[in-house]
Amino acid sequence: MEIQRQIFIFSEDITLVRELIGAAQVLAEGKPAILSALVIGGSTSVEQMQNTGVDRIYRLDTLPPDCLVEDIFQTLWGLTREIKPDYLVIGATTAGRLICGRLAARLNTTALTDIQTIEFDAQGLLIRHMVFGGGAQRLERPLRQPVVMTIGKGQFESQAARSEKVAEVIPVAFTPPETRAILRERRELPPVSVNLAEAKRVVCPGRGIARREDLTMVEELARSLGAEIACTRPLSEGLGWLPRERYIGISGAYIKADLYVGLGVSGQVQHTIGITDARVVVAINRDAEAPIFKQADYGIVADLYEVMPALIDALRSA
Amino acid sequence: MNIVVCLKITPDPEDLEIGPDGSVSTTHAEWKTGSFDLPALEAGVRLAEMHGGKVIALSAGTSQINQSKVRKDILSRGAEELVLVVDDSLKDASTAETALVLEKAIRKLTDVQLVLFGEGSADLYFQQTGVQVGERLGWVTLNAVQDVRLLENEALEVQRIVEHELQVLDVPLPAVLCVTSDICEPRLASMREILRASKKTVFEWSLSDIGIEGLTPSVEIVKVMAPPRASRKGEMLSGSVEEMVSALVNNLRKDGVL
Repeated sequence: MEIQRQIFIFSEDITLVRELIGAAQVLAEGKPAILSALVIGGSTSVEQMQNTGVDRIYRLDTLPPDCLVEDIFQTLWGLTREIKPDYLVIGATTAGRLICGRLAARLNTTALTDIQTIEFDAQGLLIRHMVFGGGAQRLERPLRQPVVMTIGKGQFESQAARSEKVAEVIPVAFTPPETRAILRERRELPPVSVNLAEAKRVVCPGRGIARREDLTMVEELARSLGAEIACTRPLSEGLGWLPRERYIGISGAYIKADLYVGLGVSGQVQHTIGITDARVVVAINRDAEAPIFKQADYGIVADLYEVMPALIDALRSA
Repeated sequence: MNIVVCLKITPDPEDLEIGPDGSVSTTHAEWKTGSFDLPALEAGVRLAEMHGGKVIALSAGTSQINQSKVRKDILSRGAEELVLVVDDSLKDASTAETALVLEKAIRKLTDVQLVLFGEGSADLYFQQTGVQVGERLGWVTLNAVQDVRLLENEALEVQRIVEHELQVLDVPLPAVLCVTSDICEPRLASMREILRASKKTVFEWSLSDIGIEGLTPSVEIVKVMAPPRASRKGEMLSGSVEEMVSALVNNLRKDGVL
């Protein structure tokens, strides 16, 4: 009899768990596999994982108050030694990335992060993920076992099929780490002012905006369009004109808006990767050679400072 | 106390060339220190300036990382020494191999209490190498660090941003921290520092210098390709500004996005 594949998943973010289950089902290749999950929390967390195809739910009630989520590592490590998984699938949160790296290092094995697709060929598993700041994708084959991987939002949820299977729930105790950081204080950050991923329309100033005070004109345009204001990375991280959660592109926001209007955006791939899923892309730039025009539905080569007021007028009189 | 700052020297992603067939080339790209790594170097230099000790910059890669412009750039930003582990088998090294090499190099250095990394490399941005090095060393390891202070009792106070939460932590030394780009603004080197850089020491180590007899790859790179692009209309509007704007508004209305 063929040995069943063992897949072990973990995320402290319960909203990511279905993504991980979807990925695990792809990893099983339609063959019988044993899917185990470690969950932090009470019965509601467990309920959310029932009938999802998970065979065993290891449940940890709660973490000690001055511990980080990451301190679950020792507990996870103990279960990893017991389960001996072929694949460890971790949610790509900040804590998840830390846990993935530590597991991979301790197992001296391959870590594959932010996986976009999973496929199999005659020689086994192949995964695809982004490199070069979104400028390229790479197809990779892990050469060591087990494979530790992280999966982010929006990649595999649709692959998660419902199941009649009722998971066995196994309580586990917290194994404290030998040395650790002591959590002295935690503060909720003020809610982010914007969720660009949900915005219907987005205007995005780039380096073509000369001065910070010119952003008031951008704001006016945004108001007349009913749009959120985004920006390119240099405006946020370099110049500090707009907060970090407003920049589009690699390590920033990915938008799915109906309309994106680039204002003096040159169109570096690090930025445009974030607008791939926008329905209509408008580019306004003085430089006819700007790469953004190759990825726009409508292009206007003109001075931004003439186009913006004209556009505001046109929208108002409409 | 010595502070090691690990840097990745890579082809500049902005110089990436994409062929008509979707192939990707870095042949003509300039090699430089990753932009996410420079804030880590600055943070290390500021700690050393305030509390004493020196910053040792560490990088690993093929012989392409050993360029005088790159060396000078790193050393003019406040690192006192630069260690380059050079071996051509590090071409396309994945995080597991790089982490092993950096771990062995750090173990060869003396009196290291703190190792800093940036948030991710400029070329891969897998955000793994730093945390893997921390685990290999067996030190307390944290990512997403946006502030570090050295306390008097030889421990660190660290601020960390994790999704929508700010955490304040006491971190015992030795430690490995991966810092965000928000931690501080990298300095522009002064003329004096640029001149001083050429007198600083650069160590070039081979893999056998750090006790590694050959690296086994953890990943096979099967294919690198340009990402699929959404197909766009590519309609360039013409006429006066007013004409272009009115054509734009009409088109957007037709598309149903206004």
